[in-house]
Amino acid sequence: MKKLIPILLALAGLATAFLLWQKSSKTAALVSEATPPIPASIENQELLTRIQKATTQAQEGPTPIEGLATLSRLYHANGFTREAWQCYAALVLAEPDQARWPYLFARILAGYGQLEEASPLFARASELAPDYTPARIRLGDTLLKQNKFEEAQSAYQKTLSQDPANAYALVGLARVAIARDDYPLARTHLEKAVQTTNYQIGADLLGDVYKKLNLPHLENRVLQNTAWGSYADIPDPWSLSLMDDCYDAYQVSIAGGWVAHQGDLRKGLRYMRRAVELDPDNATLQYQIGGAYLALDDLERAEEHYRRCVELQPDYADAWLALIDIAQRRQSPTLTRRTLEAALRAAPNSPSLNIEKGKALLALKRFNQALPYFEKSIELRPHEAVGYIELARAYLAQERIEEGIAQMREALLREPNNPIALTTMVFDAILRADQPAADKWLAQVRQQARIRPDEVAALESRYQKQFGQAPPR
Amino acid sequence: MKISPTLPSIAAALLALGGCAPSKEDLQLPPPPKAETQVDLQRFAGSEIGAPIGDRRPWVTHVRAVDLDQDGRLDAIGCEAKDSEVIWLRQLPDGSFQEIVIATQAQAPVHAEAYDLDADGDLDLLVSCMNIVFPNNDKIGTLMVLENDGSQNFTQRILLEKVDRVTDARAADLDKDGDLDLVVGQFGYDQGEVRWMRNLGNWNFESQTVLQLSGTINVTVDDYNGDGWLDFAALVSQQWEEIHLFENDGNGSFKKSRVIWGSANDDYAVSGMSSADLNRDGKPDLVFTNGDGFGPNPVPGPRPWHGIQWLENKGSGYFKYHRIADLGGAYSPVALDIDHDGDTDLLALSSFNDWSNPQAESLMLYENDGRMNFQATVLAHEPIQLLSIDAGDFDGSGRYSIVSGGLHAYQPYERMSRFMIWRPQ
Repeated sequence: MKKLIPILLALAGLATAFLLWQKSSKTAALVSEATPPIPASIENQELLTRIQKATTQAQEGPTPIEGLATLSRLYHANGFTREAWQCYAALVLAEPDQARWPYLFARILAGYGQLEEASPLFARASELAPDYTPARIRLGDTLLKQNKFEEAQSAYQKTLSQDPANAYALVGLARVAIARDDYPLARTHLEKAVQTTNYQIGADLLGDVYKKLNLPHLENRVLQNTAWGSYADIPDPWSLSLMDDCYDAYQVSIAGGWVAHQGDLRKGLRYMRRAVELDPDNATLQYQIGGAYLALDDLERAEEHYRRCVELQPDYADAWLALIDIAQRRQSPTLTRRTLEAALRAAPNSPSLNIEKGKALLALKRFNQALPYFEKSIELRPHEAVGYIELARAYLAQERIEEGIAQMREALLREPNNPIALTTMVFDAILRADQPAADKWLAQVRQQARIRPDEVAALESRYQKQFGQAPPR
Repeated sequence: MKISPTLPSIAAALLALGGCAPSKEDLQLPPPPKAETQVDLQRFAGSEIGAPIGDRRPWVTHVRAVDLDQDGRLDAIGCEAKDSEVIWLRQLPDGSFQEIVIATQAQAPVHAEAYDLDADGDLDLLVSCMNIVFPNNDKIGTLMVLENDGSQNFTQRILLEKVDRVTDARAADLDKDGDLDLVVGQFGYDQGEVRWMRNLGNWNFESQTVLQLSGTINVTVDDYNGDGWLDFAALVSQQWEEIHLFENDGNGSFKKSRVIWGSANDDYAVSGMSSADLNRDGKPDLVFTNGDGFGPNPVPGPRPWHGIQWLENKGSGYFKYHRIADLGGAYSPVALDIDHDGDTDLLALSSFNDWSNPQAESLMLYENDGRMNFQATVLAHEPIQLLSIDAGDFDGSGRYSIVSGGLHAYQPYERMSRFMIWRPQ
């Protein structure tokens, strides 16, 4: 028997080698089978060449899995979702220990709302890469949207066990609590999320929870501290890195914008740069990157891109306004004036530029010259409050009170809760000693969360001085 | 013979090794089939109706086909959000349309539906107003009724004001007491809600908030769980990207809402929803689009996941998702049997597309082959930036015409339209 053992081991070795070869061949066959046909609609030549090369590699080797992995990135990044789907479906089998494949596959499925299919993939990705927080958060989210509250709660809690202040997990738990009608618990989770992120994540929902709990003063405080539309999705490096292989300038620019919105301006800038490289003659992309440089206080680069923007599209008023802002930041009245003149020559029908010109003249106390610019801005955009407010301010600066107040009333017809118009109406009513009107407008001011408590207090103090009593509550 | 204990282990390992190689049969979840799109620009001929566009940049947010004066000729109503007008496009005997402004200070109306709300035999209009269409979290929404005196003179009645911005409202007898109650979707911005309003008579309503979440775009009313009581659904956008179902408890109230569909892509951009029995199984399904462009991007455009889809009602309040087609910037799904072949087809718009490409789709038809396979057909490449459509038999021929409205708040300011009718050729 002992003599047989080496022979048996040798046979086993041969069998192993054969089976490994067979496995590799089967996997290669699977990869080849799963490799999608190249879509005819690919226009970018570089992308097409890369896809052709990766397709050949996936079908003919060597290293077919690597070829399919490259293809999945190229397809996913460039909006060929079906093809990417096909690649991922094979990659999760061919490389079952790689967390990225189930994760990115699940992103596509969950993105379309196929949550039942996505959940096990997110769960698998979470097991393989327990430190990759987006996988667990998205697992929680997909379970939550399937009304599987226990499982969703577990996913969020696992995230919190690793990262106790994770705002996305806290918001998820709050939504589970809301689904169970436990608003006090939702409040606890959301307050923590809001505190951690300085009102960026969870504040919108917290406002609703305070409203539900009938806590209007707290709801108001949230509204005062929250920038509109502040929510940003969880930073997700695996998904974002796909944009390195994207050839669609528009999609890359949006990704850059989102990353900047999430708070990573420099990384956002990287993608905005790539977008500009892909489509250098696109005025909007030049404007977007100019804004990023301006936010980083790099005036020189910001100016360069804004100038390019108005070269490409001379009536791009927002870019002109940014150039005026840069001139003002440089404290150069001459440059400011020249830029404004050039802007108005290029875009005479821009309401914003007309307002800017009016304000410049107003600053020089050239009232009568300023008024037509405000009037023109109203003529150009009569449905917006801003022109009326600026015209009102011009009248009020000349002490033409009645005309100013009339314009503020026009502004309030367009935007009934405009903070500037409302506070002006209170101020005017107090000055005219019109107590019923002051009461009416002050009540509206108190309802407007965008007016700070100190501003309301100042108006109340004036009221008290004028009428000898505190305003009614 | 004594066998070494290692040998069975080796054999088992070899078997495992052989068995763990994946094969084609292991592949699951095939991707949705790729649709081939055809182009048929001759099928409908579009022409401007109502006042000429002139040098305006219209903001038509909604159109609805309805015989408002009940004279037997189908008219259209429309919302012009920039001019804060509700417009009646009255069809005259010669097939032309007379534009009549029936509300001049409607505070950015975005949706109007016609009902006989006061049961006096004429059609009133239920108008949802955002006040400001672009992002704003102030409580400036208004729900109003334009009450018809029977001679198409309309009196404005405010049912809700100073609330989260209102985007859609529908009327139905939810509590079966013989009058029309209301379901109201309030987008708000960071705060928002969905409520239903019980009709107490004499234009008095009692509100009950059933969801406090921002972003509701549309609400639809139907008996979704088949229990004989009307339920409603809400399409919720913003970062939530969900559809909620509110089931009537039959006791004058609603059960806690349930998510019946959701996307984990917070940029999915749901944009419009309608209710229809798409597969004709007697249960109302939901058709919805995603392609909202009113987002934070400097210029709205198509995204790979934008498109049109339906939720198949499986009964008892449960639904199954089916993708129909990709369509960048998709909006305004309308279900109808456009070719009168007995199945339900769909119309939709691409409101935000790559307009530098003259071949970009604008108006789309999805024809059902009767087995829920849809053939996509481009009906028009222009005008661009259409935001709302509806369809009806406008000429009494039994064939459908389409009415459309354009919203031009973004570049390029070209190939614009205001109100149009698209007649079958």
